[in-house]
Amino acid sequence: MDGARSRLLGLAILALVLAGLPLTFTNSFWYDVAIHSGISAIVCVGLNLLIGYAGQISLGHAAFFGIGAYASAILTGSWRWPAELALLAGLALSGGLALLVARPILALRGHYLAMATLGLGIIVSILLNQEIRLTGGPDGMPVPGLVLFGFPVRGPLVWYALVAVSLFIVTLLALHLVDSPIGRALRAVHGSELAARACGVDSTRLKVLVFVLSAMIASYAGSLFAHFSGWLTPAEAEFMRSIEFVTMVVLGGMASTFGAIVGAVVLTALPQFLTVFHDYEHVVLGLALVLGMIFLPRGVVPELARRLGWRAL
Amino acid sequence: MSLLEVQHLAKSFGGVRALDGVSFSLDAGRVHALIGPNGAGKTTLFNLITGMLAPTSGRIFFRGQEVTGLPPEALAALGIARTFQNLQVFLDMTVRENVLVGCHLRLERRLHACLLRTPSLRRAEREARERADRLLRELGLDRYAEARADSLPYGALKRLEIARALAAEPVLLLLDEPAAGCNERETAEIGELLRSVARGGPTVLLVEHDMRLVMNLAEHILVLDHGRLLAEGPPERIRRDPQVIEAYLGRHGQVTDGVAQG
Ligand SMILES: Nc1ncnc2c1ncn2[C@@H]1O[C@H](COP(=O)(O)OP(=O)(O)O)[C@@H](O)[C@H]1O
Ligand SMILES: [Mg+2]
Repeated sequence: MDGARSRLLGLAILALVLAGLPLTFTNSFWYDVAIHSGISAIVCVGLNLLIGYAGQISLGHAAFFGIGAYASAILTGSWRWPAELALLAGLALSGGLALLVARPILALRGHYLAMATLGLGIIVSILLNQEIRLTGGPDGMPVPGLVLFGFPVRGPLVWYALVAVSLFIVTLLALHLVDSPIGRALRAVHGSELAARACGVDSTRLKVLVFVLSAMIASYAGSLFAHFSGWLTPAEAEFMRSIEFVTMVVLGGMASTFGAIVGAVVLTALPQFLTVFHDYEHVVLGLALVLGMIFLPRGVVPELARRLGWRAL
Repeated sequence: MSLLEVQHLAKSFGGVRALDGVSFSLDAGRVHALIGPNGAGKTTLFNLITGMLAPTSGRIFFRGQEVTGLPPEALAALGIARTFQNLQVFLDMTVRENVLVGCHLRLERRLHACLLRTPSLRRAEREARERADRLLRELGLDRYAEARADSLPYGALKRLEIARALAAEPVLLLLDEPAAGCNERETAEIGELLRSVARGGPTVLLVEHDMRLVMNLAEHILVLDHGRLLAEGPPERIRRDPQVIEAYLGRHGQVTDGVAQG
């Protein structure tokens, strides 16, 4: 199957699943789980571009998620900005910060980005806890409801639709990117960085680009999350959240966009249904990562695709 | 004016002087060959010209502009392409995709176009694909277009490297032992191929141990030995140069034929 056709097939299946899912929901709890899963999936589709294609790890993506969330919370709450503008401000802030961090770091080559993002995540987390006047500190702060272009986003079904459409669009953009000259160049860098550069591929610039893009996608998801939950605490921007995102991508299968979605849904939804796990959430997470690496080293979706003889997406 | 000029170029690895003050210039539009025994510094010279290594001292000019110390991608953008002695193929990509990466600089690659798959991107991609397929046909690789590169036999991979370099439509093409490890028939094929490539336009600098290939193709030969330029000139003169015979070719008794091993 060639790129365009398998992309269309994948997107068609995603659209059907997203549209059909609410038919199986029996109460608002299901919507709640689905919306949280969708928001994580948006982050993971972006993060997978970085981990799976640019070959770089971010241990601080929850920070960008948190920046988006708090930008929306503070700007719409205390400053009375329209939600669209607050969301854009979050995107700009996350993107700008990502650019600032990545440009010098990625020029060094090697795996310094993981350390830099780890540091960034810790700093952001501390600031969110300390700036009590702005963020309410560890207790958190309220977030006004979302009004988009004059329409209030209210009720589980409307929220579900917004998250589903967002996830679909982010997935579409990610698949386009992977199958574009930029995506090809990134895969080439993975194969032989020297040869790719000899072909004119500016590998540093591309890695920075993907990192900034993935940070902005996380920020967008954070903004949605803040408005949806109505109450925001710094826990959403913590280190463990960053690790969760990475685990979702790795479990679903690196360099597989649909794998990232599956990983996000499984690791968000599972703990909700298996409440016995609640106290051992991190143990389960670690176990999932270890077992996944052992039994499905390529991740769930690429492994299935290989066994079925499909091209991984 | 010469296309490429190298002045007093030197490169040391720890105590090893891989290149020891080399100066020469290459005229545009001709086929130049660089010969010399293994370890003479030929690949190191390629790595310096393409920005993969920084020289210890010396300067490099391309089209009159100093390019010393520029990164590989910048030199590629100026029109320098190369192949690698030890294959550097993108093994987990298809053969066509390998060639498309060679076209990278000519493609629509702005972020918004890639994310949205704009009409301009689709058009550029379609044209690039046609060009890639034409190149694959010319190099006899068309039946592998959809295959992953790691499924190809060695000789085909050698040709794929050439196809990828040609895809960039370079001004200067550096070929590092394109026929190494190939049998006699494959070597002859590559000779034919390079002849038609050279007719098409780029200035070629060819590193090769197969003397028949070199003497047939090159209009100008540079001889490198222990990091120094031993001799340079047209093939007839190099063939008769006593120093060259002594240092390199003479050991095999045969100057005009066969493969000179370092
Ligand atoms: N990256 C490197 N590190 C250390 N020594 C090197 C490196 N590259 C080349 N050399 C040394 O430089 C000398 C020239 O090597 P090379 O340029 O590969 O020669 P040739 O291509 O003519 O066979 C050799 O002695 C080789 O061992
Ligand atoms: Mg060599």
